[in-house]
Amino acid sequence: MTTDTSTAAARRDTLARPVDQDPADPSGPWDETASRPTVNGTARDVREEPRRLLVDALRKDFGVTTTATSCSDGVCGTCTVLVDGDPVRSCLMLVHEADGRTVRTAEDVLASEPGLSGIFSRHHAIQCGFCTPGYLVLATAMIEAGDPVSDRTLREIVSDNICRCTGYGPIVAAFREIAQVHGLWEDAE
Amino acid sequence: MTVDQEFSRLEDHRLAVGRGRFHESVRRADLAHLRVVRSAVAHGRLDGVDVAEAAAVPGVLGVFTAADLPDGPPIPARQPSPGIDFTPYLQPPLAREWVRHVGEPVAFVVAEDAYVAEDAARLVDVAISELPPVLDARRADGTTVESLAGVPARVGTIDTGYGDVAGAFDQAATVVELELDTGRHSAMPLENRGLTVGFDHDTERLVVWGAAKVPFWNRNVIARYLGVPDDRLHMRESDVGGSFGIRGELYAEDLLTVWAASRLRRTIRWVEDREEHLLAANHARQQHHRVRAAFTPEGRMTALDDEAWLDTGAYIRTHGAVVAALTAGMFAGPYRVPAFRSQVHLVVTNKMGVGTYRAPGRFQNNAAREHLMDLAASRLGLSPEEVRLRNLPTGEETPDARPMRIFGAPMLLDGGDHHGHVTKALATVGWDTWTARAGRARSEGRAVGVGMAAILEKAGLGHENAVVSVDTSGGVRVAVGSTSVGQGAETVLAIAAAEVLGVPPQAVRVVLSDTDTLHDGGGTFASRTTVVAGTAVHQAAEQVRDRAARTAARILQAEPEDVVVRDGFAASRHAPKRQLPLGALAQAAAAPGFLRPGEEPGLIARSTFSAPTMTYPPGVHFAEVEVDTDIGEVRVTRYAVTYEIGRTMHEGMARGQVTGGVAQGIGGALYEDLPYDADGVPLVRSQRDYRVPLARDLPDIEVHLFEDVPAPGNPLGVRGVGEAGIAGAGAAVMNAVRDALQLTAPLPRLPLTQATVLRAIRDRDAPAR
Ligand code: FES
Ligand code: FES
Repeated sequence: MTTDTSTAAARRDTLARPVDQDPADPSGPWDETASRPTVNGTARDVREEPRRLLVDALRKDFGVTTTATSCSDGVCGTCTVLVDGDPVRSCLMLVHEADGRTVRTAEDVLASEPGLSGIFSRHHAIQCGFCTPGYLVLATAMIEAGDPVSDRTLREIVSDNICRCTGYGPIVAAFREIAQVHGLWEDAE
Repeated sequence: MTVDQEFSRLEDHRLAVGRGRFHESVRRADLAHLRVVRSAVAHGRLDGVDVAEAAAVPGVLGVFTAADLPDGPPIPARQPSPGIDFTPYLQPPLAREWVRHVGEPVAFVVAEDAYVAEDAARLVDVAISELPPVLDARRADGTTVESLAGVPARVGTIDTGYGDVAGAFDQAATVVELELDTGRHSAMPLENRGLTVGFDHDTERLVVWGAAKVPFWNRNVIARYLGVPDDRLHMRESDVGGSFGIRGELYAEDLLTVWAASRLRRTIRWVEDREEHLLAANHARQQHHRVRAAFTPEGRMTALDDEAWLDTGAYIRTHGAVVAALTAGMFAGPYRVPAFRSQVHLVVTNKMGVGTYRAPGRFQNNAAREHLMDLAASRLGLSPEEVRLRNLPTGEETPDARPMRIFGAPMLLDGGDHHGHVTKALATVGWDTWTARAGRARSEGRAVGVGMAAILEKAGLGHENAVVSVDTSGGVRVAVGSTSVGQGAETVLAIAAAEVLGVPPQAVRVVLSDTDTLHDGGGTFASRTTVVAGTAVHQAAEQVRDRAARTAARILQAEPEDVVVRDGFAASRHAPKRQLPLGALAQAAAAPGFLRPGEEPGLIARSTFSAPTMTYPPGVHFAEVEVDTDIGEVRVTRYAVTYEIGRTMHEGMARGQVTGGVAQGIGGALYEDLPYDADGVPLVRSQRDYRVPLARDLPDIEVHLFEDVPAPGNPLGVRGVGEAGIAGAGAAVMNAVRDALQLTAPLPRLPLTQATVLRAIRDRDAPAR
């Protein structure tokens, strides 16, 4: 479900450096780039150096606290946000790439799908809770995609992200209930 | 009163709605960022660190090396080990003369922006004269270490046992033996290590967010290092994205971050990235075992003898020799072993230091011993379950004190009837159907196998303090020295108070490990929170309840024994209509007329619980695997765990501890490893390369919690459950793979990577020489 798999480090080294940058001096100064993403319903002008990752800008410029990094490498999904409705690793995207696009974090999906919290909690799908925002976003993507899901496809969806605490069973169970509530559950397989 | 145990966790009221108190959520106007410069070389003499270029980068607030730091002591070991002097093996917060592993902190940069700090860190020039790295503990054993002032590479040996081992082997009808390597793992909590340290200009105090596991001990060590009173530091409650033993130990970076905040008088945040986590957060597990057991013709074990080498990495970490002590002390597992010896040598190498990762020692020793039991079963012509049952103590033989000590305390097998537990476990999971199903699959040509592992766990260690109080509004507060590491400590401790005070757990506010609230606290490790902290809370709550009853009795002119405290009220059972709210009683209990001489006013009580010995519950792991023999890939297709929990405080959370542990254990059994190349450079430097199980890699995990034998050592009867799920996973999976491949030989190592499995298949099929 998630797009983009290049590494953050590679992107920072190859894409993010302005052309007039002295390659011997990686320390800048960086020309700032203006962009205007809409984050959780609010559009805002941000001026950031072009290499600023979306995840860092979300925290720094938009006051988002739920979107966090772990691997910074596109693997774990902790940083998952919705960009124009698609789940995206915000550790692999630069903030200026979000210019003019709509970004939604767990803060927003909790407001639009308030029932998700209770379902996660009831299934004990939360232990340390560090993976939870990423999974809430993933669940919202599943709901909004509207495709029917089965036990097998659910395991695949949950496999997009890493949880180090639960052993996944409770998260799969929470996703199953969410699918059922939204009429996406396809029993027969 | 019993509490509805299936309510949501208290933590979820913030974690489920995106309001976790992770340290990175702390906002401060004066926030600056710290980035560590690390050695890229495994072993060498540090010739110089040139920071000039880095210091000139705009936005950099300072670049520091060992020369800037106080001449303080190295990072100490928390737990001494009699007979072993750790001092020469301890790590300075920044390398001074030598570097001893890739990733060792050499300097650090503080800058206004995290990106700038990272840029500048790359400009720090580190000159090192390289020495050959030492990467094999067994080969290093017997040598001395120039970069540690010439001390022996062997730090010491934990040597434990009893009985006439040599005599038993002389008499033995059958001797089985094997050698086993266990891989180098790390816990990989999802949240990387990090701290945010604020500087309070009014009080000159340092406020620390993000500490975990042992905040009181860490506070004291940091204060000593800075040369300030302990109270200058305030460790705040935080949420932490998992610990599993490795997060929250004191690391060099903790000292550096707090020092930087005090030096620069600003808020400093340090967050490692995943590469740094792989290089410089505690590693775990890597051991080489050489084990043998003696049996009678009937399959009774007469002796068990293990010698192991623990590759402890470049420095002795804060746990000291805990991993070795648990490896050696618990090697015999649950069995009746008339003569026993286990030696574990701690040997330094040039890798990251090894710490305690969930079920330290037992993941390894269960694998070695239980694989040996399967080998014994093959040799003796018994089934794997039968050879175990013949050697497990029955209810008549327990409680039994083994004639040895562990951490200086007696080892009392208090978990009841081990034979009975395994018998019940076999019936509960329907083991016959597992073996039959695997046999059928094999007759169809599929490499399916099943394996079991009988384990002895342990839980509860040390002391914990609790204060329980009721305020004048009736609010109940519990303050404890344990920390939350993401396992639901708040909820369990709220239950412990709630069930005594007759209030819903949701009405209890739990303050965990705020160093301003309590004088001292133990911390969170060794599956001890429920056992030790839970008991301290339970005892304090009982005192509060008794005091509420006594106060109410005076007002109601009743006997204290007749007063019932429930639902936030106290009333006499003879006049239940006349109810006094707890808040009013708290007010009354502070009034002079109600106070006994010297008594603290109000409804408040303190209690400390000190576990005299650990509790040793039994458990069994069962695994079914299918091997793709073309590519050597193992899939775990079925998994079950039984465990004697004593008493369950919260069913959902207890199960979650087991399933989460099993997932980590399967990762350790099949994928996880941290190899180094010949130059001592770690080959795994991103999450991409450190494969952890995903949802698709795991079956549904069956958990059967038995409450047959409440723990005798604490009033709650609880036994702790944090490590039960991981402890036997390597063993059960390895035994299942051996069964799937129908090997006569043992498997040589964990994890069972595709290469290891293919080699085992090749060896099996090779014509006998
Ligand atoms: S932090 Fe972005 S995928 Fe892991
Ligand atoms: S709950 Fe801790 S990582 Fe998922």
